[in-house]
Amino acid sequence: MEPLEPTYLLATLPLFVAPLSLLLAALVLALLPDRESRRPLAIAGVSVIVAALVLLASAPAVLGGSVVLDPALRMFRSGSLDVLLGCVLDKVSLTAAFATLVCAGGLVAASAAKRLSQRTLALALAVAFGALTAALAEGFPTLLFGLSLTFWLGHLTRESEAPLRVRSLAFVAGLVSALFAVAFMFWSLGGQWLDDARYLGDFRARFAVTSAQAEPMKRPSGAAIGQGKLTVLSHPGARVYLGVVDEGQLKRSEPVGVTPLVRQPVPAGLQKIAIEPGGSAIVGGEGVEVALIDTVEVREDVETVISLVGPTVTFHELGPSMAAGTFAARRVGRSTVGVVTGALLCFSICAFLLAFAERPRGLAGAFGRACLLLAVAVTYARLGPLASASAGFAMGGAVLLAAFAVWSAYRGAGPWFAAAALLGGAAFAGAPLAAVVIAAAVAPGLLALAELESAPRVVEVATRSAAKSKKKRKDEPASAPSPAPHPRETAMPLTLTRLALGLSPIPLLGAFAGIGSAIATPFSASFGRGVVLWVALALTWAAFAWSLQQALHALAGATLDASALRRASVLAGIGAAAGPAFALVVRPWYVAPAFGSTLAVIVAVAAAAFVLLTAPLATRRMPAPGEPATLMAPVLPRVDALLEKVDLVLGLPLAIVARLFSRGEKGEPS
Amino acid sequence: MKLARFLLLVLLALFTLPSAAYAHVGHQRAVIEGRKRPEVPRDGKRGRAEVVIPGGKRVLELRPSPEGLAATFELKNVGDGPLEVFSVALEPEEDAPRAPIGIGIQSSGRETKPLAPGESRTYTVVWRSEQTLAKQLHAYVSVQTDSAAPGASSYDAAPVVAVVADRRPVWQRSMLSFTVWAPLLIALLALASWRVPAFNVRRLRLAAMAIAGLLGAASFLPALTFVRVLSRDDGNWGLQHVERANLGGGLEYYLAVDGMNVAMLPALALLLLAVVLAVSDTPKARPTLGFSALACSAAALFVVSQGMLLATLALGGFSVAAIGLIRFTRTDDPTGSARDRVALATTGVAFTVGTASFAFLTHWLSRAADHGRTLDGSVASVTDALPEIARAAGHGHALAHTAPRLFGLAPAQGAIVLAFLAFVPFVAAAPMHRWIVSLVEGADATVAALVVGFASMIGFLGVFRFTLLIFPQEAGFIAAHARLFGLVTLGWCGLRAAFSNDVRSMAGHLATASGGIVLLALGSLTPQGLSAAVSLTLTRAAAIPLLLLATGALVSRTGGGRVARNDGFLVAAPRLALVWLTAVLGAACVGGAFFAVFLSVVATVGAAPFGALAFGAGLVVLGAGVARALELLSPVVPAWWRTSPRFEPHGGVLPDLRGREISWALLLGVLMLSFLIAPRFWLGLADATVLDCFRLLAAPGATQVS
Repeated sequence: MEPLEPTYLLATLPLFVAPLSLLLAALVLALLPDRESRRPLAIAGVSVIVAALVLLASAPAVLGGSVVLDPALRMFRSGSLDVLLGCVLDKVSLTAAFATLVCAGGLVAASAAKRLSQRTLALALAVAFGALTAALAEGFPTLLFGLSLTFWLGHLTRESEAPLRVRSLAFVAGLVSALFAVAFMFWSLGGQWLDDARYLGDFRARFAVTSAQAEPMKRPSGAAIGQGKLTVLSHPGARVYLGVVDEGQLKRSEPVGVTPLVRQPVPAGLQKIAIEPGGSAIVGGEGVEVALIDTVEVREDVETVISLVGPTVTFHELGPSMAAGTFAARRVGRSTVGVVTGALLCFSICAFLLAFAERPRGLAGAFGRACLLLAVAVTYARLGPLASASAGFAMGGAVLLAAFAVWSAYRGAGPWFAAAALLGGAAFAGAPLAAVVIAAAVAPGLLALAELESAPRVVEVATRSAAKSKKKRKDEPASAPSPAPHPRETAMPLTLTRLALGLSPIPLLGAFAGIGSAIATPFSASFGRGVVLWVALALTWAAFAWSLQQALHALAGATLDASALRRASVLAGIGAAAGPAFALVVRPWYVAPAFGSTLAVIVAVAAAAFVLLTAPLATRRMPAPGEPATLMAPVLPRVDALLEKVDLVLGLPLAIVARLFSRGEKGEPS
Repeated sequence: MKLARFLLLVLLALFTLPSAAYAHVGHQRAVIEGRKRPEVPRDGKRGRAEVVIPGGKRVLELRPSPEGLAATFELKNVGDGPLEVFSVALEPEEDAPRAPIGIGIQSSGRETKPLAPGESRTYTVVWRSEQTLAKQLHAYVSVQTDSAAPGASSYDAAPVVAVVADRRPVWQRSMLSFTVWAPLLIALLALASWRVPAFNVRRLRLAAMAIAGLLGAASFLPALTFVRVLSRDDGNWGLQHVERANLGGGLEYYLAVDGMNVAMLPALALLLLAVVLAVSDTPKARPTLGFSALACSAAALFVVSQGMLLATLALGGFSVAAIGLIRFTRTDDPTGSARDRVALATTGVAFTVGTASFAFLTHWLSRAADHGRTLDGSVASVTDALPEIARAAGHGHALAHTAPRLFGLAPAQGAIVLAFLAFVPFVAAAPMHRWIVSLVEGADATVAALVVGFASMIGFLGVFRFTLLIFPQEAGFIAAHARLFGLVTLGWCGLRAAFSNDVRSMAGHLATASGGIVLLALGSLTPQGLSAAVSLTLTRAAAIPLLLLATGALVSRTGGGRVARNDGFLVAAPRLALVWLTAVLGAACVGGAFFAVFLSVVATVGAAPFGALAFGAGLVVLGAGVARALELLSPVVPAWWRTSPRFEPHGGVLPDLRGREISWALLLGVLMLSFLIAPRFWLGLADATVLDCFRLLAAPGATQVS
């Protein structure tokens, strides 16, 4: 069983080195002149390996149940908002980070044969930097920044000229909704809004004992007093004192440590502990630095954790803060914060989904999309607790996602869209870690699929090589024609891809288990919601399988370029291995059930339903996916002309006066 | 001839516009008092007080001494009767302390008996400067005696001794003046190159780049030597690097920085350097461009450096220089003349409205407020021209009782309307938003970059200082209007950018739309909002010029502004594509200012949760504009390139950014990146000032949103 509360450690190697190595490699590749050599591949490969080694150094601790922190830099502090540019490595970030590096490594390996241009490689590494930043982010600001960086840089890796407006609009809408949900959460952790929407702070202490694991061991009478462990978690720079009675004594005392993390063995018993926030922190309403001085009971052989509670956007502070108070029940006008954040996140997750509406072309484009999928999965995982705070919206969101996924499968929009819907469904079902593991398992498989889809068919290759040799014969009659690539059937890579993608939703079992437990308790209040959520998730899963089936079906029997098949096989092989490996290592099924109490895992029921739902859908033939329509292009000039007229009215004062002064000379148009 | 006309225009502006006004936050401070003086002078012979400062100086300048910094002055009885001294103390102030703590006044021999006729007494003013973080001292010592003229029924006005001290190293004492005036040196060189054939354009370019580079480096010094934790309670109203001088006729030269503007100096100076680099890349850089541009930048730096005595004058100077710049750098292309004319007229009208409103505001403010004092302690009776008066008004008390109604509104509200009228054109908020688009469409890209970059910064500073800080009691009224202006600007200009069919118009609207975010952040009245406003202003100062210069570079290559003509350069011109991506995201505040936007979202939700959702909708609309701009980065090369004679020398593809173009792009890009990855350096400068302002705007208590 997983431990209930994580323990915190400082990273042995600075975690920020991992994304930084990718960024540096991207910069070097972008600035170096384009060369026909293997040096760019070596640079890219080394950067990926360095990043992986940095993460590997802390991975054992994470798999042991700890959270590794690396508070690299404080960005700014304004009022009670403290933004760190720190990194964190927990199971969510470890999975997403390694999946990003696996995809990047796969891309580098594949580009060795495909000869991606140096600049494309640089761009791909920059996108990976964005995704890794999102994965390792220790707080919502950095996470959302990494996510947007991945999206916007991903634009540059696309290989089609499909319009971006709808995708981008959807993405920005999702991003803004998520920002607002975080803002609502932030304030409601420290107060609430009155009926006239005025904010009322609750003035709770910012530092609190958030966990004291396990019961104290019974000590024989007369035995010596043992030691407990005191852990203080805070923003960097807060000083921790022991045995300080009043503020006057603070100046004469030496701190036992300075945060972000202080771990100190202390004698068990009542301890006077003082924490001076440092750095002009506002911890009271009047803008003065207030030190907490309190008596804390430290139990023998037990770790007592003191952390910041109240308004925060940092993940490791968020858990205790949310546990300490019922933030979702806080009032905002006539509604509750849970309802508002639920609505915003429901909208946000659905909007992010639309960012996957267009099918990527080419390996680089697919890599950009895979990184986005991973970054979105991390975002879902981090926002998950907020999304599931409102059961109604979680249920509605899951149903909406299922409908979207089925519709997209019916329209032949490809598996990317359905995969993103599956992640959202897992987040709504209260299984955030499952969402990340699904993304990690799906991404390499989808890369393989994209490589197969973009690989030239033999007929095209033959036509091209014939035309090329004909042209060459005209220009250089003496030179020999270049040999055409050897064609090969797609059976092997298709099987591998099917395996990789078919196994990827295994982590969802956790979500099904949680929801199934709710269904199994028919007398609980959440029975109806549980059923709806369960069916929605199963439908999304089925839609994903259906889209996958269509994509693979379109490729079955095709004879493709042999080198493309090799690359696809490598990527699909990585995917087939990565999915189960991630699932077994991270074990995402240890999740709190979304609704109801814990009961038996109804995996068998889930599997049976899955088969029943997917079998008829997967065997049905669907029309081939078409090109995305240019929705807005024909109306743009008309809208622009209309807006210009309205603009003239809006800016009338300035326009009238300016027009008087801007009359042209005789005959000159003004 | 052109030069003569331009100079005439400048002179006209300088001599016709009234000057004045400065505002800063204030705070209560105890007054040092001695014995109480009788209501009326006594009968019989009376003493007359005269203050004598050694060396015949008008200002008592403290020098290093064993006790700290000290200097003495002499109080002399020049009357026929005895002179009784009731108190020698710092002049009582209603609000914020002008003088830092640590000042002591000692009389010679600790005597208290009345001075006989002809007798004098020495007083020593000591500043124990180690007790405070302030490095400068500006204080007025008031000597209250029973000095009265024979037969008069009231006492003489108490003599006032102006005390100054400066414990900064000598090299720091004129930093701001150098920053302000250095651009004019380039302007003078430009003038010389016009008249001296040997000093050709090439040499001028080199000299301009050297001076601008030096200025760029020097402009960081005030920020690096700025005491970040010094608040207004520490004296000098929180101002640092104060440079004052009497100009005569009641005029005073006054430069200073606080947390709000100190970060703007390097940003402005680097923008100037980027523009110099861009101008020097122009094949036929006209001297007028150099001259006007640099005069313009000097004026902008002057305004930003709190040249508040001459603020109106400098603002007028900026407007005139900007208009002159647009007028005298008009393109020679006959097809562009109509656009030029519209750009000139629209910008001219907007700036004139702003400048005239500001002149009226400062004039009115000066009359409505209590009198202040100049550097030498004399009463500021020339009410049109003195910053101290407006500074007194800035305490927010003087206006309410004595000021007449304005526009039929309460005095404070009327003044706020005037302040909005004055600075909304510079911020380019709706309905004064069209000038940026006209300018981008009609003027040279370097001109547009310079004017828009400087104006946006001036506009923000003006809105901030002349609304919230002068009238903190009207914070709600101001905030509501700022949010309204911001929302309309953000939503509308974002929508225009999303549907724009011309690249220049798109860039102009994107640049304008993000100004709405600044106003919305400011209108939240929270520390997060104020910090976000500072950060966004700084980022826009780098991002908007970058976007406008990139637009100029793109359009100059393709030969037209239509969107369809400018897309598809992702593969052919990767450097330009990267700059375009950075600039678009930066100008729309979703890239370089991402964390500032996060701050402003948090701020607006805290202040007005449901109103903030409209802000969210505005951001989404702006996102649509960004997407439209990024659609230009299509990987598919347009077919018409291969057949176009324009691209024939470049092998049928659009040429990428060249050497000098890379230099300005790199400079502005790195500056923008620094706001993104090291916001603590920039925002940390404003922390103390933000907290000072916040305490004025929101009363401490349970409902304070902090």
